[in-house]
Amino acid sequence: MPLTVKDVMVPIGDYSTVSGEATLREAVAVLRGSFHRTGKALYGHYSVLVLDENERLIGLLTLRSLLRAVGFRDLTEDIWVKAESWGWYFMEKMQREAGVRVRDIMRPLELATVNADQPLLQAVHLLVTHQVNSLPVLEDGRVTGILRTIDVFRAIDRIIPDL
Amino acid sequence: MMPGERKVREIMISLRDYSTVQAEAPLGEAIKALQESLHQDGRVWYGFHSVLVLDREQRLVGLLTLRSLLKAIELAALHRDALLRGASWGWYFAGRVHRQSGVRVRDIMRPLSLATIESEETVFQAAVKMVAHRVNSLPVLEKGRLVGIVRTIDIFQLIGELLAD
Repeated sequence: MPLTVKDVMVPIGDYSTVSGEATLREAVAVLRGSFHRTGKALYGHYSVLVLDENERLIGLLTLRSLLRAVGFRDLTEDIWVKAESWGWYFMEKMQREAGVRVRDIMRPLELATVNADQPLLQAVHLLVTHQVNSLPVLEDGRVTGILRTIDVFRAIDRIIPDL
Repeated sequence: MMPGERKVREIMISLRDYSTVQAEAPLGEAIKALQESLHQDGRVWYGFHSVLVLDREQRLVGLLTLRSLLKAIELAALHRDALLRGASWGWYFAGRVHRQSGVRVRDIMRPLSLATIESEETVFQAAVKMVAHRVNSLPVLEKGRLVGIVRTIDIFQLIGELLAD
C-alpha cells in the first residue's frame, strides 16, 4: 500500500497556528512555544499555520520570513548601519515592525498545499518543485495538518526500502 | 552589550554536536547521520535539517539538505516504479540511488558557493545573511576552519527574547 500524506503528516492539533489578525510579536511567541532543547541543540517548528476566524487556512508564515519582516533585510543600504548607534535605531524599528499583522507578511495560499489522501510521492514532488520545506494539508477544504520535509524523511525506509 | 551584538559562536551548534558526513561517502551514510538526530517531542518528530559535508581534512566542502535528499528520493522512487511497470527508459542517475550503486554525497550536496559566517560575527549579521541568501542555516568558520552551524531557529531564540512583552 503506497504511503499517503495522512500517514506521515503532523496533525494540526500538534502544530503551531496563529490568527491572520495577530501581530508578528504574537506569532513569535507561538513559535517560541514549540522550541525545546534535546541534547546539544534547539528544535521546534519552523513555520506557523495562519487561520481566519473560522479556522480556515489562509497562509503560512516561516521563521525566515518573520526575521525578514522584523527588519533583517539587507541592511547595507541603510546609512544607519554605519553609525555607532545603529543598534538602538534598529531595535526600535524591530519593535515597530513586530506590531504588523501576520496576514500582511504571510505566504498566501496560492502557494502549494496538498491533500491528505494524496500519495506521499506526489507531496515529495511538490516540496521539491516549489522549493518549500512544508505543505499545509487539506481534507475537504479544511486544514487538518502540515507535512514537513522531516516527516517525509522519517518515512524514507518505507518509500525506498533498499536505499 | 546589545543582545544583537552577541557572537554567532555563543548560539551556534558545535561541529561535534551536528551531523557530518564525508563528501566521498555513499548517500546512505548521510541518511544514517540524519536519522540519528530524529526524536519525538510529544507526538511530533524533530531532527536536523541538513548534514555538513567534509573532505578528509575536515574542511567544509558543502551542505546536504533534507530537500536535496528528497530530490534524490524522488528519482529513486520513479526509477523503481518504472522498473515495476516494465518501462524501458533507463534513468541512469536514478538507478544509481541505491547503496550498492554508489551515488555519493558530493553528487547531491549543495556545493561551496554556499554562504558561511564567521564565529566572531554578530547574531544580527547572521540574521541579515540568512534573509539575504534565503537559507535556513549558515556553516560557521573560525580562522578558515569549520567549527559549527547556526540556524534560523538559533537566531530566532534570541530575537524572540527581544520581542517578547
